[in-house]
Amino acid sequence: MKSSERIIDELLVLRSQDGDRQAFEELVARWQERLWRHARLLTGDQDAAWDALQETWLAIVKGLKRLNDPAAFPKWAYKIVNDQCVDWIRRQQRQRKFEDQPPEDHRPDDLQDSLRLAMERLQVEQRALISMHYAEGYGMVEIAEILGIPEGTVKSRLFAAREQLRKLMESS
Amino acid sequence: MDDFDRKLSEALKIESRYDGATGKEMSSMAGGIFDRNIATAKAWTWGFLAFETLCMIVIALAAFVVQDIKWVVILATAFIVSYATTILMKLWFWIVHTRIKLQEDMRALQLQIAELNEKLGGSEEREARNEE
Repeated sequence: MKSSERIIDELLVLRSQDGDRQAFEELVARWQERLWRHARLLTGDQDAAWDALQETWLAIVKGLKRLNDPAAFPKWAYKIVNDQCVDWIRRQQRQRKFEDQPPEDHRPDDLQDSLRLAMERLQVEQRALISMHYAEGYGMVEIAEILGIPEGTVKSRLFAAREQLRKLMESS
Repeated sequence: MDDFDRKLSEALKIESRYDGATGKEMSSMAGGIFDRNIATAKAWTWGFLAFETLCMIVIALAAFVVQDIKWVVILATAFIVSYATTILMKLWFWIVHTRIKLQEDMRALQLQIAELNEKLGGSEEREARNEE
């Protein structure tokens, strides 16, 4: 049985597909914070997160009519955010390479600082898993549904990401 | 969830603190994009329908003027194609609209059932009670 929250999301997607602006605004209000938080933790930069989110909403507006299954909205939205953030990270890496700058190497002052540095050193997929589970509070089943991978894979990948993050935080 | 998990969760939430004011700006911006998109789609649809209607009028008038039977047949075919395109376009919109409305009704029903289920304490809890 689907939870009422999920059905409300599906209903809002359908109403938005039918051209209802109010429904679309409600959908944005329900998803914006989650998607922004995800983008923020993937990019590690506030402005980049807002830019990624803006591009995401643009892509959602353009592609909403083509979304046949409204239940696939979370998966689709997260995929768009992920793609936008990966693009941004690649651009940053290219820019760094072009300017011949090594990544900043300073001693972290506190837990937040060491977390920030450790997150930067994780792979994007690992960052996404950590963000979804620890910051957005999704369970294994929900993450598996959103990412379209088996629950067991989510568990093992999340465990590996957590261990790596712990090691990186301890080493810094 | 151990101590590290709890600390990690708290630190990540602090790290990704959401700015509501910028969020509101972004929401209204998204609403604006949505409106523009709908307006563009409507403009294309009505523009196309107007163009098709104009074509049909011109073809019909031309069919009365021309003398050559070959041209009458060509114009009649063009008229039928224009008419069929307009009808098919309207039919397509009607089908899409009906499909969405039907899905909406189904979701509204599912929502009522889910809310009722949650009010009754959830099926899993009830099953556990029944087993007891």
